Amino acid sequence: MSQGMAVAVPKKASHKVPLRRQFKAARGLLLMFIPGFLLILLFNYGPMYGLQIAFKDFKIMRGIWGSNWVGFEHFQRFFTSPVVLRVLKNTIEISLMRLVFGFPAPIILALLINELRDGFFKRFAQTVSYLPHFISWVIIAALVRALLSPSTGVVNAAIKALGFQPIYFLVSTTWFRPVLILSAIWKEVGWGSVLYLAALSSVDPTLYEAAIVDGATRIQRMRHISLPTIAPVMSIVLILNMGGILDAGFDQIFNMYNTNVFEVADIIDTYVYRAGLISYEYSFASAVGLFKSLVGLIMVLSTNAIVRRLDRGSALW
Amino acid sequence: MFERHDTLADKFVVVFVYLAMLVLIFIMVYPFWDQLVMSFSMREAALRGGFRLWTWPLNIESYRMVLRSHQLFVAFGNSIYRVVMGTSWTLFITALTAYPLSRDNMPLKGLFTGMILFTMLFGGGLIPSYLLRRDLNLLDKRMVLILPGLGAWNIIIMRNFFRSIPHEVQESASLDGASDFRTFLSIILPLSKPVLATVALWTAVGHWNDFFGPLIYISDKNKVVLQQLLRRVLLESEFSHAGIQPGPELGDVMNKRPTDEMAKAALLMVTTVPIVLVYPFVQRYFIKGIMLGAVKG
Repeated sequence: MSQGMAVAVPKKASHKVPLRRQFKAARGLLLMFIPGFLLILLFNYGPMYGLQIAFKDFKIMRGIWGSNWVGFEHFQRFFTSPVVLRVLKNTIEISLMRLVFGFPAPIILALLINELRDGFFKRFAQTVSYLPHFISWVIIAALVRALLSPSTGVVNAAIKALGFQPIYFLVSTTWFRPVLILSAIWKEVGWGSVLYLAALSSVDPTLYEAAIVDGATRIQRMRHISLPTIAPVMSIVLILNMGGILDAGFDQIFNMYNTNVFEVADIIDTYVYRAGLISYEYSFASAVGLFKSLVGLIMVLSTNAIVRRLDRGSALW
Repeated sequence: MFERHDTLADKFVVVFVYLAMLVLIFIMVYPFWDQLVMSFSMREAALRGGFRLWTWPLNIESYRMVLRSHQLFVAFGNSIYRVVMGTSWTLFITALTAYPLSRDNMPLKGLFTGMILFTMLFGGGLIPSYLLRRDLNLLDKRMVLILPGLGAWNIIIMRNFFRSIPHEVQESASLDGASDFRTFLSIILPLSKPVLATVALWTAVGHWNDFFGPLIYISDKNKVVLQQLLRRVLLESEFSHAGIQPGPELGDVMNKRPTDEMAKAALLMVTTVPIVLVYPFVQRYFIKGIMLGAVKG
């Protein structure tokens, strides 16, 4: 085997082979990789560079370079603004509500579906349950609006039939959040269950058979076989959810909210949108956005670290 | 329904499960059914509240009104354009970028992969992203919704799939003198149909449903996508701007005249039914995709 062979068995890139030679040998690969990498640098890292305007008094005419540094002024404004408390509170409360109600729902659905006998009904139920996931929030918000309409909606028809006054759900500070959470669950419960069902389908059937022989009821089999099987999936989903704790569902809220319910529905993202793109306060909105991204990052890292400590195999890395 | 070994308690559980499923199916389907019935209703029937299970006689005025809209078809066309171009571009650039990361001899692989993974955890945010596109002169151009379509998640999924292709296949190609790119085109891609189909479907759905990107980046009337039009009509009740108006032939038949709700229902049906019809046939690819992506790492 001589060094002169033009096409050798590809060497594993490691510290032993000098970088220059690695680059030369893998020219083709690098050429393939560069365009996409540049695209990522531009559209993903580019904005990170632009984040510095959070610390500047950004004037669009002057550009990033021409604008002056103002340090933490925007952050100070953010933390002392009266609106902020409301926005932060809403974001965290809505996120937590989504988690508390939205996390168990797909799990329960998966366990239920798992008890169905294989066949048309089971497949039909599954297919129908994930359909809303593929429909946009614009459409679903419109559906919700139609169903909850005080004049022509089903829900209010029932309410009126029971003798009560119609409820204006979408402009009511009491009802908006429940509607938000319930419609979010409606949209996502089916799709959310797919991951769990996939895990459940990988269980060795002999485990269930052995349990049946031992006299275990369906509920017992659920508790002792199904649930432990999906526990790792649950922790991954939980970690990812924790990372998105400040997300609270922009697409949904944006399409469903209105000024009447800002008090309970305005979240960080909707606030940033209005401050930045409607009021043109670019620097301020960037500062708020940066705060949110940082908290999200910290949340993912810490949740993962905690899960790692408890059960290494269940963590993301 | 029941298995041989089911105890009495088990039978209750099974009955409960099946009942729960029926309720679930009803809850999932009814909202759409409600609007379907509404869209075919006469004005009087539409003004009534209550469960809409059926209506008679059928009234197609709402559909006439909606389908008369020139803007609707323009928006439809723009959405299709975006889906086709956006998905093709994303598939191409993602595969091209993911393949090198799957090869052992890629230099600095760890660094590159790490940098890509990092973008999943942190980003510039809305305002810097907007300003970037503004500085690149991409605002109000169709490209702005298509070009940035390279995401870490899809790269990782494709990379994992490429990795699972046996080494011998790739080695034999390079021993035959094929360059990396040739190997990629002629051998890897044909073998990657499952992952390509999956990423294509996910991307297509994302493009089709995206309303926010167009909302902030597109203002030209001719470039409006379907979701923007839907937002304006369904949520902001702007009918005339979208070209949805009652026709002259309605004239005297009051009962056929669509209410706002009827028009909205018809529009909703027109835009949702295609999805509902196509969806059952393609949904298994989405499920397969979850399996592919579910392999950690």
